[in-house]
Amino acid sequence: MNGVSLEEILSRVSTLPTLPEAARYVIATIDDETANADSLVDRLNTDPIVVARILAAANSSAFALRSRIDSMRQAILVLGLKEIRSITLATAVIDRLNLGSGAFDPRILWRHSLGVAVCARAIAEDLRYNPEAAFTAGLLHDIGQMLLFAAVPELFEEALRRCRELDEPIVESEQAVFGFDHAVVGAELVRHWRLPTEIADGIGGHHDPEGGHFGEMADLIHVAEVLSHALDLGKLPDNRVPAVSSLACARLGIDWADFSPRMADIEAAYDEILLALNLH
Amino acid sequence: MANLLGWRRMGRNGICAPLFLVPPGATEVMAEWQHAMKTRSFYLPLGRLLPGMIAAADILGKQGEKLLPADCILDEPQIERLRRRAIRSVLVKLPDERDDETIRRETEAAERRLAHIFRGAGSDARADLYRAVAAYRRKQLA
Repeated sequence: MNGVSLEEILSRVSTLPTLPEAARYVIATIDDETANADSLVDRLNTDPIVVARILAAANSSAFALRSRIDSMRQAILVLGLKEIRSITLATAVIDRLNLGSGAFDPRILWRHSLGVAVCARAIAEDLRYNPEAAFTAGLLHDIGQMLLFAAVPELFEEALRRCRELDEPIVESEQAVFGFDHAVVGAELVRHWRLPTEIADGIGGHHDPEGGHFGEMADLIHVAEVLSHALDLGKLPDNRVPAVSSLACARLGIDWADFSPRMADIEAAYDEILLALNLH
Repeated sequence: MANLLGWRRMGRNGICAPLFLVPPGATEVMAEWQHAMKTRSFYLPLGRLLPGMIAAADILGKQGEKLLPADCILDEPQIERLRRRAIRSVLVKLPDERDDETIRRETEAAERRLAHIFRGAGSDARADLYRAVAAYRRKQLA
């Protein structure tokens, strides 16, 4: 181990750009039934970069609309509030948090994270959990890797190298190099950003849902990540299905044979969001 | 007569979709084409649907209500209506020109990839997931 503590990593949080206001608003209103199209438009229109990206996504071939979308109101009318909220969150986060070099390619990270987000949303819809909260936790589940890279790039690249050369899970490589892993770092980071506890717990427990105190969201993100790997979403070069917690599956009531009819729908939804965000 | 304008390669699977110019009253021709050719079914996101494609199953709304019946030929207004109903993807029939040898090669490649990504030991839940994904891939490629 190298002697860098979790506290030191978290003290370097300023090396990461802050979460964009548009993304914060979407996350803050996940459970707010009074949040409507007008309030979203008013908030988003204050950030021209986010508006431009959302309009580019709405006009992409993902939606193949006949007429051109040139305002946020029109985009919401045509694509629906939920779709716009997902696109807003994804574009705002991915645009802002795109650090990387050498062995760490942020596009690979975000393609994987979107795969987990899409799986989490589908599982949440099936189990009647909040699909937007699940999508958000899925999108941010590996955000700890971004902070590790931003704070101590050489050490994080060492963990990546070890993971590749020994063909071991990234959490084991991180444990060997740092003594802790990206799930712990990510959970602390989103707590620092004052995001909902449910999302922090989902991120913190996604590799160890049997740790006992993380709750249903950790089970859900764990299962979503496993499914994303199993469906090969993102076609990661060294893709490997991680350990699957039988306890988490049982607690959620997931039966993979019953769930398999949803797999084609998940692949189609993933294809659509990559097209919309130009991440193909 | 529906004019075949060409073929468009699309999606991660490299599947080809027919590009038709569909004149009014071409339903019978499309149905004939559907019977004459071997087809396979794919879920496509709405943005990849093209007028002239054929629904492989009933298209259901969020509450399970039937929006369009199986075997209907999709046109632009219908696709637009599906978008307004927040439908994300549709199961469509597409021509399948693969011979048995191609299907065998594709199935073997998919099985190899699946074995690779499931390498190493794991729990019963992991083994269940492997079986479910393997069954899904076999059905997808058949």
